[in-house]
Amino acid sequence: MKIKEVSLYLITFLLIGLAIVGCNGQERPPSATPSNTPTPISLLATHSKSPDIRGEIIAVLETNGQINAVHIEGDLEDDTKYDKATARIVEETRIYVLEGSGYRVTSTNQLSVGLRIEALFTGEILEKYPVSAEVSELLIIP
Amino acid sequence: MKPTTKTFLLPILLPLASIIVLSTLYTQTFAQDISTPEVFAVSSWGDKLDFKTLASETAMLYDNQAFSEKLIPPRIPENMQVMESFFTPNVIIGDDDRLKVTDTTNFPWSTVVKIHGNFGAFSFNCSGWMLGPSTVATSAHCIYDYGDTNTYATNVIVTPAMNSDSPNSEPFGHCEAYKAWIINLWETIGDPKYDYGVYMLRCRVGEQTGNLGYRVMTDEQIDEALTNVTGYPLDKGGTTMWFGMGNVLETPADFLLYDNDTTGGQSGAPVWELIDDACQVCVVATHRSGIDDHNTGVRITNDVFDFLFVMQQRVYHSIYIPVVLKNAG
Repeated sequence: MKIKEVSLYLITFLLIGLAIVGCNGQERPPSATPSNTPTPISLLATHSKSPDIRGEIIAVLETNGQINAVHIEGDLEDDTKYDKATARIVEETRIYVLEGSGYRVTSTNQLSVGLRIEALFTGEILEKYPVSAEVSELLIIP
Repeated sequence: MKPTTKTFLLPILLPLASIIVLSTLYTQTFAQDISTPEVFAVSSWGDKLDFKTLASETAMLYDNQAFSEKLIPPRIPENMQVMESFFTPNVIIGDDDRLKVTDTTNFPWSTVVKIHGNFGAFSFNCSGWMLGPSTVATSAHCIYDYGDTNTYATNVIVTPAMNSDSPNSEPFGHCEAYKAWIINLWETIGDPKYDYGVYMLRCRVGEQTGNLGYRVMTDEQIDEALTNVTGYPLDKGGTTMWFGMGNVLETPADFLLYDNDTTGGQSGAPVWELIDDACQVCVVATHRSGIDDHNTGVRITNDVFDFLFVMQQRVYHSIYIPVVLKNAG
């Protein structure tokens, strides 16, 4: 009799447990993106847009091991707006590297002090000096 | 040894007492959590301040009318010349809308400051405005570098009325900031509507420069108003004062959008209405950012007003009282 009661309790708990796990609304992430995704177009490499700043990376800022911003210094040129800036790298930031007559997508890991880059800002620009803004595109140039 | 009543009760009473003590502690902690407001001021030293409650309490001590009207007038030192001509709208606006201030020692230009400091190993420049004898108002991003270095500024030097074109480029000298206050939600999530703060100075230079007033304006009052933004733009060298005039374009709840020309170095600059019948020079927003077709300032809302009011009173509580004591004399 006792064994039966214990078994009943165990089964009930097991069923409740399964129900709770089953009701968890988390959806599985979609399967990996197809490998034939076309390379997005670089607005800077194709000269569709002028950079906000062109210059050298003088510092790379990291938070929790992730690069979150770069300090850039350059000269104010005819097609640029700033000589110094802090370019904030966000999820939407695309990073490219110029190669010969073309370009390819690269990652934040490639950013290091001394590299020459162009940056295209997006959204509002905080007007301390150097200015600070989120970047839609970074292009590593020779 | 024969067991007594005590030995029987001890195992029961001890855990019971522990439960009571622990639950009391938990309740107290929980109650503290509940009473902590969602928005409060934090300092570069780690202090916290419920500025909204303090503002109401402080207002009871001082001129309650000024507080309830949400308008604190400027303080102009005796014998200081006031530049009346710039309060008229008949000023020729040049191509880039900005004009250089040639004599920065006159009010209100005397109250506009240049801020220089460091975020980590890198220096930065901002603008700001005298709020009290040793309090400077500016943008929070000129105090705490949210999103970039995530640090408070160090080695901060404030120079009122700087003018490198003048033989005396620092007519009121300069002063070191020793502490800063911002809002917790700027420090933790960089919420742009909390992009304001104050520096506390190690001097009372504001007694010589005077300080600007500040006020809350309704949408109807501020809509399409002619405004002035004054600061130290770095494209002009960063050591001379420039002002730009323009119109308010939009009035979202926590911001003012205007077409005054601004650039890097002008964050924290005061934005005031040129013709303000109720207040000679009252700041209505603190300049923050630029975008293609407009610039943006953080508007003096009730919360911002309370914060500034508390900071102004708190620093000089026993030395400086910027508003008249209620029933004094």
